[in-house]
Amino acid sequence: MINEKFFKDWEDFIKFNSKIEIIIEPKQLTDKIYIPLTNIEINAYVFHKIVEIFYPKLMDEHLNWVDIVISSDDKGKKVLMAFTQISTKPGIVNRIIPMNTDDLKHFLKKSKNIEEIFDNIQKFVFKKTGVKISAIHLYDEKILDLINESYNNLENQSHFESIKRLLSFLQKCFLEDLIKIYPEPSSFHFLKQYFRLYGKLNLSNLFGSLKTLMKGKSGIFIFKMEDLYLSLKIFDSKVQAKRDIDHDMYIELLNEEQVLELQDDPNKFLKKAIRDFKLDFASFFKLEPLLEFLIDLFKQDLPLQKDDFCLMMQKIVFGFRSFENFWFVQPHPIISNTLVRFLLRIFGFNINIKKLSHWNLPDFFFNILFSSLGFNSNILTIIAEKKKKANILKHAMMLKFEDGALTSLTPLKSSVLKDFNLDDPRTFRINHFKEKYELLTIVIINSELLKYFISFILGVNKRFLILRLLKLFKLLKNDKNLLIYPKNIVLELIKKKRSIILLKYLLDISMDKFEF
Amino acid sequence: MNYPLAYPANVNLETLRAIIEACIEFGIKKILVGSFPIKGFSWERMDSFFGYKELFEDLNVDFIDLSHSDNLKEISLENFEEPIKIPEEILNSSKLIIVNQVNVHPLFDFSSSILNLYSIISPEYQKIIKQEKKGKDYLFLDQYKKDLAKKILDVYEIKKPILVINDLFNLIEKAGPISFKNSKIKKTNIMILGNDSVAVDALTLKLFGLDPMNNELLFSAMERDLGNINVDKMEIVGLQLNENTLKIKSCDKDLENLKVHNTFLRKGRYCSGCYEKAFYLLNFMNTYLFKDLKYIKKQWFLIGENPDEPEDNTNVILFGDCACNTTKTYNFRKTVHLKKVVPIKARFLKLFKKKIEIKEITKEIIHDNKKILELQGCPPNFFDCLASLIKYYRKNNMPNLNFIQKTIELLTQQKEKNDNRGSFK
Repeated sequence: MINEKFFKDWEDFIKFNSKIEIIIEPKQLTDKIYIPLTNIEINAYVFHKIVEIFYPKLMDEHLNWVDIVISSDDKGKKVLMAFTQISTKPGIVNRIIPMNTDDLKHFLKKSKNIEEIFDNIQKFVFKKTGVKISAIHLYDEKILDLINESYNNLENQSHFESIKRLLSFLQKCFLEDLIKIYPEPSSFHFLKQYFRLYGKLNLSNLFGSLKTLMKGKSGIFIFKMEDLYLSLKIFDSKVQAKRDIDHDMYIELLNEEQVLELQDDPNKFLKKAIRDFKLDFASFFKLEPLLEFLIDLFKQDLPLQKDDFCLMMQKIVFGFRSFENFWFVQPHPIISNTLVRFLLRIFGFNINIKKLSHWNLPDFFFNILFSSLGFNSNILTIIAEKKKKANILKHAMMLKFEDGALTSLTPLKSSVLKDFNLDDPRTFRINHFKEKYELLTIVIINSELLKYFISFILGVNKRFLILRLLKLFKLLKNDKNLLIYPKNIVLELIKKKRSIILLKYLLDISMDKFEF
Repeated sequence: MNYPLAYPANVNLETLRAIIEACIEFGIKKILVGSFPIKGFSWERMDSFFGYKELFEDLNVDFIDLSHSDNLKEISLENFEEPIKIPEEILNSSKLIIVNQVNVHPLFDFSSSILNLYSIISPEYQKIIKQEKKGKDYLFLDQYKKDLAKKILDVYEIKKPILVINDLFNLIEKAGPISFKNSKIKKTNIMILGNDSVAVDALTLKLFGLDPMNNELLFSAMERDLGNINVDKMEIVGLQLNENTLKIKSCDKDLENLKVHNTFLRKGRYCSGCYEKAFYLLNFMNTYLFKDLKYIKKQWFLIGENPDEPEDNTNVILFGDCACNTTKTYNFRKTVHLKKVVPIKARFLKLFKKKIEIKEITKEIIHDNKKILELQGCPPNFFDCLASLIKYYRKNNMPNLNFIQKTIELLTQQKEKNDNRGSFK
């Protein structure tokens, strides 16, 4: 049976969608609903708008569709339940009609493939209800257990934990191939490929590590998409306890006054938000470019070929350099201050986020990297923790590249690496080569360096950026923090050159020379 | 080991190990692995970056850098201007095996095993010295390629291998090993083995859908009766491959098709030597110097004898002796500035007659054009070209090349005292 809470959450959304059609000022509605599969309760209008904007872009313009839950055994020919979801706009379902499973059973039996199933069901539904469906969604019955698992004790979890569960749910669905959609949206196709290649990487844990990075920080993210202005407030658990705040995460809609203030001067608005809500940082993102990027990304086949990969990386760097155009942050990065930049330039350091050479950086970096590592290479990446007595292997991952494309990414269990001695990667490389005829490049990263690097990236808005960059170089120069075995020419150059000179080299490559 | 680059630009160490293990199984007691590295690079230094020796330590294999060999024997060969020195390790070996990583090659379609064997002599001897013969057009006859083929075959005759392995399991097509961006790996899962280098190379070429008769090197080998290039007369064991089974994208024969950013090519008649080096240099620019080329804004790349005149005279790169010598009288060699001047007579008159009207005249001032970079040599050396480019355009206009130059310096410098590979301790 389908989980009651899940069904209720979906029904609430449908009810709201049908209600909204007859209301002139839907923004005024105060109805609240739960985001399905999570315990996040948000304004129903906000969720409605999110679906209205994102669904057609990411899931194609599917208007009406049929959901069919099929049995795991009997070669998937047994229909357990089925619904026709009728929508006024793509994704905005306002009516749900349960279907007779016996009617559908023979379509599944007699059809050769999913395309034929879709054609037959489309004709059948149109004949019976007059509704023309544009897609079918086939779910394996195992998904019902996964939904139940996701809702188990969900009310006692934090919002952050519920998102982790949602990611874990999605990962299992894709890994076990529990969902089939026809016609397949490009995003769905992309995710299927992604999980096939890199599915062993635990998304939920990866998302969980964000919290570790955010430790002690509370902030607000404001997102703009078309006429929708959303705020996502995130509170650290200590702040949450201290200030007696119910949840660690709040999704809200900005009111008209706030929207006007934000449009007028985003930096002023963000400063005010930090002051009013006693937060550590505030940022504002325009989602249109991000969505465009995602649409482009989903059109790609995985593994991304080197040219496509470089192009996508260029777009990411371009997004980063579009500071105060696509995104804003407060406290304001000191480095974007004209006087500071002028003074640094006098000393020969040309640093400007808005002048990052997005068109040069990814190509140059990957060309150099793959020329030294080889077009086809196996990189064993190890994250280690320094302890007083011994070094401890925390995580290990094998990355395989073919013609510069990442074809597989496999986290390795500690049992696989039981013979690995962090102080002697040489022996492991030799033995691996002898036994498996596979040449390895071993990269050992100290977890402290990784933390410093991420905090550096997240803290571009902090003071003393140059000094922190020099500290990063200093850390990179130490074998105890980063070791590539056998030696890598780029890392060797970093180690050999003085940090100041190195910084100049890298800034010359990373920044556009001309200010106009 | 030709380049300071990893597999498949260089030999596959996995294949090499499997072959050595097989040799040991057959009772071979002493195995030497080596070649001459390209000029400026030492095996020792490359080993410190690629770590290949340690992978064979248990097999009791000696890796030798032939450029450091003390036992050199002088041999006179027909097509060499002077006697050449060959390491005794090669000459005295009981069996010679060629492990050849196949990739596309701008001159000979692919890097053949015969070409590979040419690395048993020092790069100094590998050079082709331009010798124009009376009544014979050096460029029209492509004498460079012919001379090179002759020398390669001379070396091949010194010591023939007993086993030749053309490893095309993964091969680099299009631009070749030097350009990551413009190349592509083709996975074929095929290796061709045999005891006749010429036959193995001919079969490899046939597999690519090319006619061995059109290959300068193999055709010359056939003429000198060094081996069989007729595939129909070969006894092929294993996969029976149809013709054109593997269509590879060869190196572009026309330099104009390379389309280098902000670079305009003007070509005259050029030899294969200049074509090969220019092919690598232009591909290198295309791959690594995108930012530098953007800063340069515009450059003219003149190659060959009597190339077309560039449309303007800024940043003219003359590639090779032919381009340098045959463009001495070209317009781009001079810069003309128009300057408005007052004639002296008029100035003098003005001193006495203040009301006189002075008419300025426009005068042409001609200077030698300093925005020309001459890359001398026949053909020019690739690494010298990089150094000249950075000197001409200056470091601040060439950030990418400056960085690469530093990495090359690091690779070519002598071995450090404590050249350990580091420890995470």
